[in-house]
Amino acid sequence: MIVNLLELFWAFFKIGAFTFGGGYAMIPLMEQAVVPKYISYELFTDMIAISESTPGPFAINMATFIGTEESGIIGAFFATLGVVLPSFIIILLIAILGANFLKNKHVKAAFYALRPAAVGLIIVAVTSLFFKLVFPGLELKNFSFKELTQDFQLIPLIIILIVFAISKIFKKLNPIYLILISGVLGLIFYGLPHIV
Amino acid sequence: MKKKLLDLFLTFFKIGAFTFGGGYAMIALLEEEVVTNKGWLTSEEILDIIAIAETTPGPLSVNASTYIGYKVGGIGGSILATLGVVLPSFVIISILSVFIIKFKENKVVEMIFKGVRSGIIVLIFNAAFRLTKKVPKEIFTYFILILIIVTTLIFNINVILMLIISACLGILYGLIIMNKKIADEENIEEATCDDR
Repeated sequence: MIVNLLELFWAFFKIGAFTFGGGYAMIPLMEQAVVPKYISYELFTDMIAISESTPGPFAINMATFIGTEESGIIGAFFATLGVVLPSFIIILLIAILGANFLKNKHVKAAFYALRPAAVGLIIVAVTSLFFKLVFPGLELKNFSFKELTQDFQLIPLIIILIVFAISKIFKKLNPIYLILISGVLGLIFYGLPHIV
Repeated sequence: MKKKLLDLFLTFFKIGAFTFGGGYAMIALLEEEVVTNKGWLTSEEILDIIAIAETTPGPLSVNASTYIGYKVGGIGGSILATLGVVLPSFVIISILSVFIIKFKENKVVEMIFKGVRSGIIVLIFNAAFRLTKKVPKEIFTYFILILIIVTTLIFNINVILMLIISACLGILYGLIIMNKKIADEENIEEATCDDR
């Protein structure tokens, strides 16, 4: 039990220590850390959606959820503590010692590279999600055109295109509404064949 | 002092409870609460803090709460502010966790989630597109961008490792640029000296 808790703590400590660029950029990192060890890929992607609709940052929501699944409320505590601690310590040091180290030219240089890296991770996140949803059988490492057409899922693609169009027409629309709309579309496209 | 600590806790509890799906809505709320309502910091100070909080690892809300908490109430303040900002999502997700698995067993709910998975892709895509435009259009930054995409997406190399490598490449690049600049300046000096 204690080993599980420590493992949870450490797994999320690493996540908390390396999530730059906020939000979506940490999806690939988190996926590598918790899928399939702690949850399935499907549940992971659903948690992304749930996190968009609930208060709180993605990292903390994920830590609490996985911690609870693993070892109840204590697990949630250890996982959440793990994910929060690195930034807490680092920021406290900066607040106490002053932000001068951020002006150091080597630190600036490192961040100059980390910013495009974070953007790269967001691109990885969306590309990976897209391919796994629309072309489930495909492995990018062993790309084959046969796999491209074999398991092709049309409905997700249609929903993606519709929601994308809506997001471009109604640019100021709150993301939560886009999620609601996509949920309704899912109900329509997956549900209708059953009713008809 | 105790009142201040309680105040910090409640203020950040409010911030943690009302920021759905991400960073930027939080910044507005942060400013309203910390600057306008409580007068703990000035607008300029908030901007500095946000800049720091965006650069350091970890969620924006946790970084902000730790820093502001410390400035207003020392280490105790940072602990209580962070506790406040984390608690709402901790409680909500812990409770939700119990129901999520059960929910997903329902066919209707699963159809909604399937739709939502597609919607999420649109959200992340739009974010990725927006952020990619902001990447400095230089060889080095685009190199890092592509490096991350190729190593993570296709070869599934450990993200943490790639981030460390990127940071090192950044420092290396900084050194090379610096040396080149120094060399260039020396050349210019020589050239102007010759004119005399």
